[in-house]
Amino acid sequence: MSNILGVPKDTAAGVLFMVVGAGALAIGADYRTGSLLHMGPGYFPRMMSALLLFLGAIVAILGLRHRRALPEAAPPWSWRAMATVLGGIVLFGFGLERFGLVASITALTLVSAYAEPRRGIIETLVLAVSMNAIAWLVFVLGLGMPLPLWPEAGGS
Amino acid sequence: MELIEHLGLGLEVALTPANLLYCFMGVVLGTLIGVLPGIGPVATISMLLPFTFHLPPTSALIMLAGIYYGAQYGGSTSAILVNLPGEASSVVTCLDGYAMARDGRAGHALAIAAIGSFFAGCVATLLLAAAAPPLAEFAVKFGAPEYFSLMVLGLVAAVVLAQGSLLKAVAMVVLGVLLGLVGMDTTTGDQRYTFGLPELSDGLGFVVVAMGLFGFAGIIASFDRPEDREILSRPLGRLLPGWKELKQASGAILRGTGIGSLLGVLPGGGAMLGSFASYMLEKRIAKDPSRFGKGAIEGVAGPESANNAGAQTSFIPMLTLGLPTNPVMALMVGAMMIQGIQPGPQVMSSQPELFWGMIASMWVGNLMLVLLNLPMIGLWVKLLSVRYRLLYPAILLFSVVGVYSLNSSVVEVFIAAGFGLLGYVLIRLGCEPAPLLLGLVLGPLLEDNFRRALTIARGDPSVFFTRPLSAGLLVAAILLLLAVVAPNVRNARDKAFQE
Repeated sequence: MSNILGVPKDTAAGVLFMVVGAGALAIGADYRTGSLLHMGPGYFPRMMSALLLFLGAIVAILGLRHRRALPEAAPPWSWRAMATVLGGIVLFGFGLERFGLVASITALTLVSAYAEPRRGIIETLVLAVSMNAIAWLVFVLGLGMPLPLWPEAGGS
Repeated sequence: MELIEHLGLGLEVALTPANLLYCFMGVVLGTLIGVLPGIGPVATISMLLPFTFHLPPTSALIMLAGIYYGAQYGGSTSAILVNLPGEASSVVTCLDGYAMARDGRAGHALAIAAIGSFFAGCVATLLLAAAAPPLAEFAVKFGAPEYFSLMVLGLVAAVVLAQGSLLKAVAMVVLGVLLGLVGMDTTTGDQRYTFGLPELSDGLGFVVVAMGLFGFAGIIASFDRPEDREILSRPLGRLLPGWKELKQASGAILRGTGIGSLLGVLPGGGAMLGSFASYMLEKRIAKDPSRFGKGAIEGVAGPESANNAGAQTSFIPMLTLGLPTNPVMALMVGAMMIQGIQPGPQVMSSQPELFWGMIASMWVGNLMLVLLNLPMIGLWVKLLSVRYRLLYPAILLFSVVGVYSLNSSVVEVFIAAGFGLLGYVLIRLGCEPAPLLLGLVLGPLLEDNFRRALTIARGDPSVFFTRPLSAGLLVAAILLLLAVVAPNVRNARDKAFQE
């Protein structure tokens, strides 16, 4: 799969650049530009945003032109890994200050472990316990980092 | 002689027990992640950076540097034994290294790789020590316009030497520069692109971005290709090569060291480019090029020397000009800034212990690596049987705790996850993430020097071309861009990256 929804890879990349460039222009619309001598906070960002928009457009157009160049055999996107790895990280971030290190690491490991499709429940549980042990040994015992291990009383 | 005096001072610093320990930890870790495919020096250094805050700056940098060149040693081990490049810079080593291993000459290949790397490391360390003072002296004269032009040249060169589409690489640099502008404008104090988040007013942390782009995105991308790894069960064969093989390899080691040192200094260079160039050179000058790919010892000796030389000389522009030329150096710049050291030509005179200590530590580290790698090769081979499925949860664990501990901020964990998503999408769209990281680090400096240059020149933009040094740098940047756009150079470049 060399493209998403039939859009060539380069064109998709170009559009992504254009969206960021245009977005940066829009968000920065009220940053003062100033003059070359007295540059406001908006001068350089505007220059860069416009440049990104321009480059994105060229990349996108060239991508369209080379559409039929060579069909690439790319492996499918790893949606499963994307969801589980990023989901695990977000769960960790969400839980750390509310439920403590142990609960967050367990959540991180249990979810991200299933990025690997062939994994049994036993292996996953062993993995979660080991990760907690490593974290306790390295971060708490070894480095003495002030991390909350358990949910704080009353919650915060 | 001054050089000896400097190295003496450096050795004094590098040989203190504490620094020896950190150097050792760095090279062991470097070898470890070098052996293991799926985790590279960029991800490792960004993972460990947060934990180095409480170390003295010199020890922190010694350890982080050790990870980078240690990875070059380790990378060759998995390339030779399993035909899997542990690092991108060992890709070409697979070709002949693995062929040698299948011939039962794995021991020789490993030994030659280590010997070549050690030789290259020693030469590159001396080169670094000799080239740094004059370069720094030269750079002290730089004003804002020169710095701006130098950074433009650096970014252009990084893009030209990057893999893949030139245009996309330029766009990635610009995207990085733009991301680097997030936060408080240092001149006016205005908040830019912060979305009202107080966490962003100091800017996007480069560690956070690097962790997302290289660490998290790398883990996701590793699932694009199913893991299959065949551990070589054949005996390693005799370790020490005979005279004949040493003689055969010595030319390649010398040439690899030269080419690697040279390419390492160039922006965008570092370890990888040198190894490719060296392989092509060896193949071209060989009397019988058909031996290559079938276990030619030069095909291991050259690239492995080159990548280690390049890894070390890439410190030259970083240490003397404050100009990072590859993502690892961008992280080193970050590590220095976190420790309150502004990288640039003044580091050498204001922090001589740090400067020379770090350089001398590279020589010490290389010695440790040879001792570590040759007798203990069996241990590293065993490590290869650790499956990625067991490894990546641990990488994730260290990464998230590392990001959180930067500022005790959960928001930064979320930001890193966001960059993980962006990084994976960019990888899939054929955009190398390395130029983005360089842009991110250089972005604020670029704006600052641009502004200051124009203030000095009373708003006249011609200042960049009327100051001779600045003009020279910009012209060099333009020539470089034109050269790559020219069709014949372009073809050669594409061909070089395909091989």
